Amino acid sequence: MNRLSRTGKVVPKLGFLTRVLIFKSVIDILLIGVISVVSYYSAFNPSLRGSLDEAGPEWITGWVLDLSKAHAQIEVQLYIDGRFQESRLADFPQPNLVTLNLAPDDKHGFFFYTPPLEIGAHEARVYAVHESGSGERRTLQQLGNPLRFQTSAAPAEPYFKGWVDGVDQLSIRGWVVDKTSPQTPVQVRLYIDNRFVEARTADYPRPDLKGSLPDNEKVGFIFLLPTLLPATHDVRVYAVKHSESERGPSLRLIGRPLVLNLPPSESGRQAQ
Amino acid sequence: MKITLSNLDVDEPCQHGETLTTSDRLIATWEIVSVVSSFLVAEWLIQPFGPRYNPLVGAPLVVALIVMALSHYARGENLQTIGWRIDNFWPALRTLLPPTLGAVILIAIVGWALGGFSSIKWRDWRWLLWLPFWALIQQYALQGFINRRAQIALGLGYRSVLLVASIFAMLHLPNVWLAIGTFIGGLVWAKKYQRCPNLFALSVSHALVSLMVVAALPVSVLRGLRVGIRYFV
Repeated sequence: MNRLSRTGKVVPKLGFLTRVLIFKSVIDILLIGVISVVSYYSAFNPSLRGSLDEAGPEWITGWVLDLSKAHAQIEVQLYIDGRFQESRLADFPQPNLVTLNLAPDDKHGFFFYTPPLEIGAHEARVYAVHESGSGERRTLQQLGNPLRFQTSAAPAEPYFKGWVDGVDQLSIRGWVVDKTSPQTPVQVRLYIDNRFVEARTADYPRPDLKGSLPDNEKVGFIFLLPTLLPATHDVRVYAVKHSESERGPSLRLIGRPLVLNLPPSESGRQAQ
Repeated sequence: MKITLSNLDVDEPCQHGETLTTSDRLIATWEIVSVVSSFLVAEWLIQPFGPRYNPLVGAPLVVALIVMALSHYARGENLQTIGWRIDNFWPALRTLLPPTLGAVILIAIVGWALGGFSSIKWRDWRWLLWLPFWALIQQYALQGFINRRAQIALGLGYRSVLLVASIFAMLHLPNVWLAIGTFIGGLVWAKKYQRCPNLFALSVSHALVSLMVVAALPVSVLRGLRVGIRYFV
């Protein structure tokens, strides 16, 4: 029973109430702690490991692995500049995982072709999808750190598939195929230091690609290098894309810009 | 208001006739924070996890109810003083009738203007049966407990009324339109409760307004009356 004051009013049991409130605060803290731990382990996957290894104008690669289920292939989502681009299973071969004894098989990598982007700086993030609550929740866990990259030209992907194999003091070699019309040879153009040098058709035989490009092996190109001053040069090969929707043909960068460093002696010898 | 300097006791014409001290006000504030935090934990932390109707949501609410019951005991409050009574039901309902009817008509006009009246939820008899009961629980927590503690902390009048309405609105965030509506409703109900405390009359008013809100307003405005983290999913 509550005590009554001299005036006959009820005197609240503040000591008792304080103890009740302290006890409830302790319960609240414990409850929130339990919720935090339970929610972390249910909504997120603590045994998930992965990394975003490379992001560039052509592709974005990395790997993801669930240590508790090493055979499971995990769905990954690509976001560029905060916008969803693509979702796929991480089943691309990543032999390093087997070498490092992290996984019994190597099918835990992911490989996205970078979609066509505006010229400029971009940021790529890849998230692993984790389902919980009987599929009611899908949580995204970022893999590694976001990677920034620069597109200085529209990439050949996804319209063309190709690569510049190498550049030396004599030539530039590579290959390219039009994905929509693999039998049609692609027009390619060589630019050095942003200046047009030469145009060719990529129809040089590449028997080494027969396995990966069964329809057509005449997809190679070779440019002989012109005489260059001794300096560092920026070398780019573009595929010419003809489109009805665009006003004229557009240039799509094959592979990456290459750097050709010509020391004075090499340049002199080349000039001779 | 009479202040006795010897012991810093403050007597004020509170309807409960209690002797209020500074520590009394502080503890009343703590009680409000404690109970409201339990509701927020249920809304924002527990609801997102587990199944759609997560029984764990009840855990902090049960703890809050136990604290409220113990608080009533510690402060010597009985059912009558809290508002669980029928002797003043009709006078209380009479004072609530004009604002309730006004709100119902206003909601109907807004619903008509926005192309509402398309919800079929009000045809669900289970929901209709649950509505007054749920309104009663809300009014008990809001007026029977929070309003009474707000009166201890801030005194009778606009400050405690404003606090009650703000808490009621906050608990309906991030549903902005619902929060605005509950703030206005909270102002009216808190004021009426301070004049004539009757939880049954308040729950009738609350249920009628809720029924009209659900029936008249488009789902796009209210997002299914979702509050807390559920608003986003």
